[in-house]
Amino acid sequence: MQAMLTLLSQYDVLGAFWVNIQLTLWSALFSLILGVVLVMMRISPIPSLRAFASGFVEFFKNMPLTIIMVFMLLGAFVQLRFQFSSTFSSNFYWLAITGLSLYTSVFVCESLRSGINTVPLGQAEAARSLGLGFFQTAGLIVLPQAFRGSVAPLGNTLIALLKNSTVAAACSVATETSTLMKTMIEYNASSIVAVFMIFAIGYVILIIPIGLLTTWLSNTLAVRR
Amino acid sequence: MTSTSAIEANADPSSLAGVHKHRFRHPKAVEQNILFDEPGPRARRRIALFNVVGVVVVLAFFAWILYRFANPPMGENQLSWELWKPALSADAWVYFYLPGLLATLEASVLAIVGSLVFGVLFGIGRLLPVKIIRWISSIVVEFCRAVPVLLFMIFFWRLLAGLGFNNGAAFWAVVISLVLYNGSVVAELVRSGVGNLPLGQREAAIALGMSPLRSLISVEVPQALIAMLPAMITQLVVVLKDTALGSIITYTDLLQESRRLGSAHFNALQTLCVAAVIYFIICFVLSLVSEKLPQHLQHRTVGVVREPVQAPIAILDPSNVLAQERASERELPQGGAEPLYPDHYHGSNAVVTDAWRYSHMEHGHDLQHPDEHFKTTFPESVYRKRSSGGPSIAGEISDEEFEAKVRQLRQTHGGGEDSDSGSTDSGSETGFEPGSDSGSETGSDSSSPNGSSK
Repeated sequence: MQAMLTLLSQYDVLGAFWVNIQLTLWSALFSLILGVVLVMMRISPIPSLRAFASGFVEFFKNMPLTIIMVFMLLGAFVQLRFQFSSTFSSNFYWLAITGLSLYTSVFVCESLRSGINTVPLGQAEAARSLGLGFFQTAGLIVLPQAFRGSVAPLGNTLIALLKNSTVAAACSVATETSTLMKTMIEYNASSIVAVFMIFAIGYVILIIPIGLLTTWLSNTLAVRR
Repeated sequence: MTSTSAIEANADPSSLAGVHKHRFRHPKAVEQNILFDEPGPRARRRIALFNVVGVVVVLAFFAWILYRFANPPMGENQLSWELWKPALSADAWVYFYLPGLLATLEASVLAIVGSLVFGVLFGIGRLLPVKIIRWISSIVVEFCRAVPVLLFMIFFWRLLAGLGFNNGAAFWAVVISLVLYNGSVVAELVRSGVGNLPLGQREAAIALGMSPLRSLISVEVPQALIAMLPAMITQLVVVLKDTALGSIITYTDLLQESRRLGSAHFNALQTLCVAAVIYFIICFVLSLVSEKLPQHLQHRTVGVVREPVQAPIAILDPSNVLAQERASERELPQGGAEPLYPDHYHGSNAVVTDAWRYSHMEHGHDLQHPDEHFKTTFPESVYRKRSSGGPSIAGEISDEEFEAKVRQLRQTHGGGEDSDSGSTDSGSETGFEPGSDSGSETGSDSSSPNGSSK
């Protein structure tokens, strides 16, 4: 316990967690947008878009996140010269967010699809019989209900995203938790368990409220039919 | 998923065509199920037009990517054969990719075996009637699920190195971390698999004189394992994907080897692409297997074998299985009113109650009397035990209420079903899941023994 407190005072652990939270929030935002676009494509009447979206989903679903992150660093940055910013650190930061967003958007898409399954067919039929077109049916009738039905899987995806944000280490984001943990262990090899417990408990503390909120939200928002 | 997308392409092209593709439905059933009116000539023309536009947009997207590959600002042409040749040569395969792949597979196989053992042990631990064992297993499982695998890996890597394992430190760190995380996921699979079995299995085992532990080991868990096999193969995909994390702690897996090869020839992009394709093929094949498997396994268990509901279990946890099962069981392809039943979400990483046992399958649900919320799933003793102390949970009723319900139910059913205390047998007749009954499809039904489709 004493070891933990000294460690906490020596290193900016909270700052590291804050970096992970920021990574998570940005990626959550972008992957949500991309995920909605993907799911719209998958349910659209246009075969080419459907095929593209399902190909995209299959591709990223079966790809390790680590290789995406390494690709972002060695492929996209070093060889393709993708640059978000002139400074290295913020450049890596945004590259990591890009990788995380691409990877997570696929799971957002799948969660939303499972949510769409909770919407009875009658809803879409009614919308069509009222003369609504595809975008109106999807945007006004189906997706709002789908969102409410997919809170639980979306919450799980968010939790996974938070945990996956540690993989940003593979994209040279040096300030996040797993890198800091590595450094701390290097300099405090004797109290390795204390170091690990600090971070492990940190994640448990972060994840529990998300889980509680998800459960509460999904029970509150679920459309009672 | 691919099978569905293939079907989608054939299916009715009208709006929202992909929406109600039920993943558990037989492909034929999907095709026969015409969800919307055929689009008229105008709509068909419009769809064809947009389709062409879509093709152009998609092709333009790929063309842009290729262009970016060929002309990176101030960089060399990434499509040149100079860069691709060393990434594809025979030497690269013999000295880098194949050893790397072998290392990846080695770690995955060991990890999946270990996580099976871990999962079954802790899964049983969470189901045992002994409170302290249940508590310990719950804490272990929840902890392992909440902590990022990478942190585990770094911890064990340094720990083992500190203990003097110089050679195998990274390898064993990868294996142990994956066992802990995926084992806890498997533990949850086992738990939910046992929860999905009809209660009669346990009752029969108890009636034969088995102890609760014996019943779990000999009767329930084996069937649960078979029922959960597809989900476990999905878990194998996760394990395989997660071994790539090992490259961060210098384990020489496929990713690490391709990085090494890339740094030798300054063509990391190309070698990573090759590695990505290898990963993709393996994971994709495994996913396909896990989708095909349920049909072959159903006759070996009374549990409902289903393909894993969705890959996020991949990145996360089996609570997804339940949540999304529920999502899909709600489908009512023919429309109409849904049966009333509470729609709880059971379980996330954070919240573990026992409520999943009580409410996610209500065997006694009677479609004729949808307002009847009486749960006949669990024997009296379960309710008694819960109501005498302990936190309040969904589905819990007091002893008096219980007795009253039993009496009332016996009356409404005309006393015809003389079942043991508190479990009227309507459950086993109406099927597993009330919701899925009305939404069940012709076609996929036949595989499920209880006439309810998942």
